[in-house]
Amino acid sequence: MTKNIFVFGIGGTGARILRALTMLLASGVQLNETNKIIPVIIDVDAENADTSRTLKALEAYKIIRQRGYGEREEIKEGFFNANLNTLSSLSPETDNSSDKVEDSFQLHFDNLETTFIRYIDPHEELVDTINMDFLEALYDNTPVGHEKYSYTELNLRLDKGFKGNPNIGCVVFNNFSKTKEFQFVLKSIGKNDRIFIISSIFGGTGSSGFPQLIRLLQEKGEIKNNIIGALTIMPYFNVTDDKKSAINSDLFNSKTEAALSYYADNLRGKVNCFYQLWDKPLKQYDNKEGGVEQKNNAHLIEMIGATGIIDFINKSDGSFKDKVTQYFDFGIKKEDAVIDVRHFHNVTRETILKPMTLFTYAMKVYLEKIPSFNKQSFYKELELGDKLTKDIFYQNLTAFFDVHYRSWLKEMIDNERKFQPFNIDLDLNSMIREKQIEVKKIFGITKEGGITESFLIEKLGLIEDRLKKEIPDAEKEKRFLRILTEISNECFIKLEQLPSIV
Amino acid sequence: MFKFLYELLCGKNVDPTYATDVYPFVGMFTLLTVLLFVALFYVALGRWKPVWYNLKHWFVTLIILLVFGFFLAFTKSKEVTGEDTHTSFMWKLAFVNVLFTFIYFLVFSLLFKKISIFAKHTPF
Repeated sequence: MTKNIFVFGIGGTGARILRALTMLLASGVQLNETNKIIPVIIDVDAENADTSRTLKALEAYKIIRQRGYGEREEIKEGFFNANLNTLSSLSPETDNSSDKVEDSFQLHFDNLETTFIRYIDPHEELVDTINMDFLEALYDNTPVGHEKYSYTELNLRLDKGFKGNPNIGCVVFNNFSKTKEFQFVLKSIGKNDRIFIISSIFGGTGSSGFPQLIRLLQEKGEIKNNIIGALTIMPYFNVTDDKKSAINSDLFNSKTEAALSYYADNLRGKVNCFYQLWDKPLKQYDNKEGGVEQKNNAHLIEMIGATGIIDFINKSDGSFKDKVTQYFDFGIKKEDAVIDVRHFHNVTRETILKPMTLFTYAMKVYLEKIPSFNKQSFYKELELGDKLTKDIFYQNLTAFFDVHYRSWLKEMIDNERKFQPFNIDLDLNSMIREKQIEVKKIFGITKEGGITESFLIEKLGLIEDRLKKEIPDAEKEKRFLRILTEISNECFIKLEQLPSIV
Repeated sequence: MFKFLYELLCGKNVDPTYATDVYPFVGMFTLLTVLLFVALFYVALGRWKPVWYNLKHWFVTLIILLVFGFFLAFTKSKEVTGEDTHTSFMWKLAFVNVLFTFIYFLVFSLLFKKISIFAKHTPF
């Protein structure tokens, strides 16, 4: 029986896919074989905006889940049911309390607030030695004072990420095993736990960190045979040309090719499931090397990547073969510039897009309707008047829906290839793209109004009254999450079914 | 019981038919009508659909009952006593019945609202 799933997101792409995974788990996507998911972001770029956005979403999720369900692991249905938690929530047997790590979803690294050359040679002992000559031959070392000086390999600041230089990342990740944080990771992983690693193949951090992480994990005897899955993302965007930037998207394909041959030679049989994704790069992002400026819009590929993690989690133990790598990719029904619910095959529609649809209904009901129902009994029973703005659970729920989930959907709509399953700015009857809930009128009188305010007030009142008997007043947050789940199911009944391509 | 309540506020009337016929009928009929309306408001409608459940609806129901309470006492007392015109006592009795209607409605509302779904917090 599987216990915990460790999901390592390496670099900016890893963080973005973990963001997508957070959204899918919030929507209640069903997980079969796990008690707890431990997302671990490994990103040396301390200020990366993509990473910090993911961390905020994970933090909000964790608070909502803890306030809604506590630490209970038997909750298997409804929004936020998956137990997402930090590494420090696990209590491995450590020799002393100083071995504990910070309560965060990100692993923090020491000694990286410097340049690559100072990292290798902190005391400048290599200056004027043959080793330095060797380093200068291997890496670009434009002299001091040159306009390109700070962008060259030996002078890259490591706390800004590896900027598409896996050769530098390899050196840094090689020392990863010595860190207190990584030792804690190794102690935390149990024999039955599964491991999943997300990385991009065309950047610096992910492509260097992924094979190194596999090697370091498998060096520890007790977890050598744990089931490992991996998702590697091949190029799906370009960046604008910038001569001052260390990142050049002309090199993405050659880097991908080199990394794939390395993986084929060195990782075959070491990874049980290998998920690979790519898309034609349609979008050119601004060339940002990292830090607070690296904030790329969410992309469909990232959401599909997150479905790979769900697929891995839901596989039974018996479906993995020892020392055999199974490869997976993902296809849609039809090539299109705008992708929506109809483009996916039935399994994805049922397991991923239906929960997303329910969650989007819940988001709109929660943000746009419930505040205006302040005179209704269910609203007063749940004491929402005070709590919606003052209680930490509702503050985080509002932030999750508004700042994280809605923005994530909007970013995918604005990106290319465009993913627009929902018309999130239209009313509830028109929310699903290509599937309108029909409003029936006879002689100008509405006979069937679809999802109207009176429909919502009626259903919310009935659901709250019923759930009050099952869930006591001491667990009102849990009751509220159940109410949101059930009201979105009622909305879905009005929709009848998701649209499909005939 | 009704004789005691009405005489407490209206004073005793020399005509014995008030005590024997008017008070019991008006009192009981008022009480049962209020009970019926409250049951309709909080149970039948209040648990069915959110169509008649809020404070505005509650006030409208109350006003209907107050008018009913007034005219019930006013017409029944004239009919039973056989007087040609409405006496000042009949006016007083009608207003007292309005007061009792209000009290019954308020008390029943507080008792019944707990079992309602949509009117659980009506009137407060």
